[in-house]
Amino acid sequence: MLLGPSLAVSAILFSLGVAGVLFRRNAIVIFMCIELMLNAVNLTCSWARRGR
Amino acid sequence: MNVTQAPYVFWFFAAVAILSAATCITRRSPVASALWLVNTLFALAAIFVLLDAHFLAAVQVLVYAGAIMVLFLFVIMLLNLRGQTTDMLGWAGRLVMLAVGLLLTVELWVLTRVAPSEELLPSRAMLELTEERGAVGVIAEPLLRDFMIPFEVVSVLLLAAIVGAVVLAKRRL
Repeated sequence: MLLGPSLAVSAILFSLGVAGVLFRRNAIVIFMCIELMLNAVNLTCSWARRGR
Repeated sequence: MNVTQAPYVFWFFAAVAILSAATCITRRSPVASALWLVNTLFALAAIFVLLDAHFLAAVQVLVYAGAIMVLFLFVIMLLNLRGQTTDMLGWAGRLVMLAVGLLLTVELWVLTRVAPSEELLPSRAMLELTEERGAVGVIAEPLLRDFMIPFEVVSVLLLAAIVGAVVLAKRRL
């Protein structure tokens, strides 16, 4: 199963979101980077739900 | 379709998501950033389908790629940032960004090493749950029973945010 890779993809997306927040000054783009981080967390949560 | 049958499909969409996200944070124009973010969200929706979270994938496309991104585009076009040359930081900022991003990636990667084992996460569990209660019921039952209070608190928080946005936008009420 691709549990590890899936979490790794999520980790990379989250890091890209953090990097974007640090990198950009435009408030709108910072919000978009926050959306990116939220989606990365969504990806981990969709895995966590399988355990129920 | 299960992940075991489609690892290559998973890798394809993972690559699309990561490359689109990287392009999104490096584009100069906010509109281009928003469109690349839409690409990332679609790829993530495809990954959700591969992980048997079909309802989540549908909501991802409808709410994120549809509603939220259209809202972002409206705001970008209303603010009209055309005159701005660039909002990116200089070389020092880029180095800090790279360092923090790589550090975080490595840290999260190490954390995935201690992830719960396959015995704790049986691969068929989600499919059986979905067949038992339906795709919406799997989401709705914990949301509206186990996490009822946090759910309502978030809705009050959103209402406060709406009121705050109106107060900020209209100086003279």
